[in-house]
Amino acid sequence: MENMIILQVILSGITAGLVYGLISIGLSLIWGIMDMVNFAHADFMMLSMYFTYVAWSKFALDPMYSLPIIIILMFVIGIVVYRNIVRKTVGGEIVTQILATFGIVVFLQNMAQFIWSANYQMIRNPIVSGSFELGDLFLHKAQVVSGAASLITAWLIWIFIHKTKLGWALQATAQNRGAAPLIGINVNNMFSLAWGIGLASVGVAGVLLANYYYIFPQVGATFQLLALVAVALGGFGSIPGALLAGLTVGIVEALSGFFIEPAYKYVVVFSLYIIVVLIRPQGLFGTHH
Amino acid sequence: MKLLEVKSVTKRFGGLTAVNSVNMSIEKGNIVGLIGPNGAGKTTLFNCIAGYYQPDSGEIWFDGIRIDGMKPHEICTKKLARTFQIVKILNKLTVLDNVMVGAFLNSKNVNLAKNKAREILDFCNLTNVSDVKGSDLTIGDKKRVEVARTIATNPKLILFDEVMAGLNPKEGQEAIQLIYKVRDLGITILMVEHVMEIIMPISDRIVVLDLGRKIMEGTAAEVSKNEKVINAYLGVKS
Amino acid sequence: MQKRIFIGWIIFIGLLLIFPVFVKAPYILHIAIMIFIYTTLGVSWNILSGFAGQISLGQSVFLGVGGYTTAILLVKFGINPWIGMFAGITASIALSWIIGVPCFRLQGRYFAIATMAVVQIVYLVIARWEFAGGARGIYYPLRNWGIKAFTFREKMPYYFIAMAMMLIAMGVIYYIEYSHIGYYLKTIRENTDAAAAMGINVPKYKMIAMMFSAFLAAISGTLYGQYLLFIDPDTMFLLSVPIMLVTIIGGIGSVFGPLIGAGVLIPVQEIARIYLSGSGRAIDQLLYGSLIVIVVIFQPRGIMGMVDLLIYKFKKRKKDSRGKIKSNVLLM
Repeated sequence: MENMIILQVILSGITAGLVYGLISIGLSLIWGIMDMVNFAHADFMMLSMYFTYVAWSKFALDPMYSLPIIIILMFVIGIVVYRNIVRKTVGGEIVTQILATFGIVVFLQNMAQFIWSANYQMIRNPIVSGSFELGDLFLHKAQVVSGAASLITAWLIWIFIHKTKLGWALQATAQNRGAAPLIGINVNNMFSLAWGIGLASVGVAGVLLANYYYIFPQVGATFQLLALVAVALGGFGSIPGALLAGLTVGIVEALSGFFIEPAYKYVVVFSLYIIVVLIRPQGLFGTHH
Repeated sequence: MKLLEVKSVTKRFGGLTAVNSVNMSIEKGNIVGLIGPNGAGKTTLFNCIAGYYQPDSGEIWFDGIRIDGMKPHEICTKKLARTFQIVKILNKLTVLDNVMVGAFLNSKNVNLAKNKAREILDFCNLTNVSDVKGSDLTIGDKKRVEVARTIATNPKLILFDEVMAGLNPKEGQEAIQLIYKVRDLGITILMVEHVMEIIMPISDRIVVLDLGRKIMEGTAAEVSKNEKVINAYLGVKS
Repeated sequence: MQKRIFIGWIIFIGLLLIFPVFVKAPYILHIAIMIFIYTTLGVSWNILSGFAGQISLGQSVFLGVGGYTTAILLVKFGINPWIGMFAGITASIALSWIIGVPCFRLQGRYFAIATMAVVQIVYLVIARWEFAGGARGIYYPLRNWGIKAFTFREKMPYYFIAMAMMLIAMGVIYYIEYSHIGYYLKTIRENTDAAAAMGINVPKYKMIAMMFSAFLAAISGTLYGQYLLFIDPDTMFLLSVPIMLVTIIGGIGSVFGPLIGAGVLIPVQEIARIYLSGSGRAIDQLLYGSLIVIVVIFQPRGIMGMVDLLIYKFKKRKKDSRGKIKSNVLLM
């Protein structure tokens, strides 16, 4: 019986971890291609959660139907944000880069509060609700769907990066920004693309989460730090690494919540980050940058 | 007296032995050139001496102290200074400030450091740009500022890392004059250099590396006639 | 020039001292106190992140540790808050060592993320620690009043203490700017290899910056607690953003940045809160987020940067016009 409970805990850790992984992939992509940390990444996820909510409350669109629209919307927003704000900090001091995306955090959170108020919102009775049983195990449909969708999205992004010409161009830019123009790559467009994909993927995570998670302006905060931890652990620029690290974070979080106190689970995760990054700066799975 | 002694220093990177049991020593007051074809291990040896790498085996002695294993900033306090191949001056500070930072090593007093810095700027012919920001300088001036701030740390030996790189012939000649002036201050010099016309006439002794080993050491005349050296540069296996 | 600055400061301090004699309205004194506290906090962040270039996204952890140490010692052990302040300073500096020694090896972004992680950890731990009041916080006892107890009924004493702290902060930043420490920190900020090549012990100086930072934040934390007569995890550990904002807008890396930033933003924030945020929709907060992004992108050196630029242009115009007149004279 004990084993069943632990298995249950691990399973929910896996589904949560897959979502963390999806969030981390976008972050890792931007970091790997542009050598820039997007501190506002999870706040864009918050944005997509609100879009999902608006689609549901104003237009009676179930999240699974608004998903494709929001993917495109987030992709466009990613490009717009890059071209108008982020581009100006590329190649500048790290201080400026850190503070610029940090400013976007403050802006997004307060804009969300301004437009939608600080109240916690929730989507009721989406298509993916309820749970199903697997022997003694209970699995929430929403979480399983999230996990599965995260995997699929990760796989799709991986295929894009490794099997398409545009994806190869992205890799080239990541490896050698200076040489890329010499083979006809417009680095600026690559960065726009990275932001577009990054925000689109985190948009997917947002829509999935909106099925079962509370929606409020600061929801991004915890996920951001978890994603940063996952990317640092998984080695930036590595999609499988980000996914694996996200999984690790999810499982560690779930287990520590179970064995220690739920409130301390984040303490464990963040302490883990500090320890790992001190011993192995390239992360658990990454290669030396 | 031998100011710097490199004893059987070896440095490996994975499977590649970049520096293989190299021995060399430098007499106080000399200008010694370190040459060799690309990949000979000059920069690696350089970085071992300066403390950026730790040798896998061997010892490095400077002024009677063993310095291998020390951190770069410690080695600087022991009066062994270096310049960088890709100039690393501070772009946001003025030329005067740049040199002051070097001067602070010996005196924490701002006024004393400022005066010393002005003297050195004068010595290096940089007084007319002393209030210019680092980012606004020409490459030649940037290199000179780096030399100036290195002198400000009051070193006994300076490691020059391809100081001629990127300079046009006129700037190159000015650089040579500056190096002679530095030597006349009593500072010993070890130069890594590719440009033969520069390093041959200026050096008291020349050390030649090839594929990580020292293949020859002698005066410029001896080295230029040596068959092993010629073959190394022409790519002929000896 | 030095003399003019010195006289300027004397006048400024004089004005500050006389101010509460003429202006007794508690609300205005409150704003002044907040300006002083935020200046001190801004300077504390500026030393580490502006001068030394080690961006910290969790500055409030030192504020919180300083404040909480004093509060716990007072409430649980009856220890005088002044002594508690010294304990707070010690705890804060000890924490800075715990963070700094391992984490200064980390490159810029990793360090920033680590500071985020640290403040989260401390926040979560304190919020669950019943002994420290947990999530509800700690209410200060209202038994003793007066200077010995560091608790006052009127605003004026707090005003003077806050002002003294601000002057200490300005003194510290002045010292750093005009001593070798300032030069060293700026070198570290720009290029650690160059720093090492000039004999600078980079970890040591990063640590020095952090200790100054922790010290100033800790004393602010103690004062903040004694002023509000209440602290909780949210008050103490979620202030990193305003601290950074005040410094960035005023001018990160400059001596007067935090002072100017606080002097401008705090009154603006108060006015905005009165007139704009009635709907509870945080439009004032929205403005701040936009402000950070705009300032960082277009004028990273903040208000002080704009001032410098104006002075530079003014001097240049003077030089140009003088040059023109000279050549006319020659022609004649």
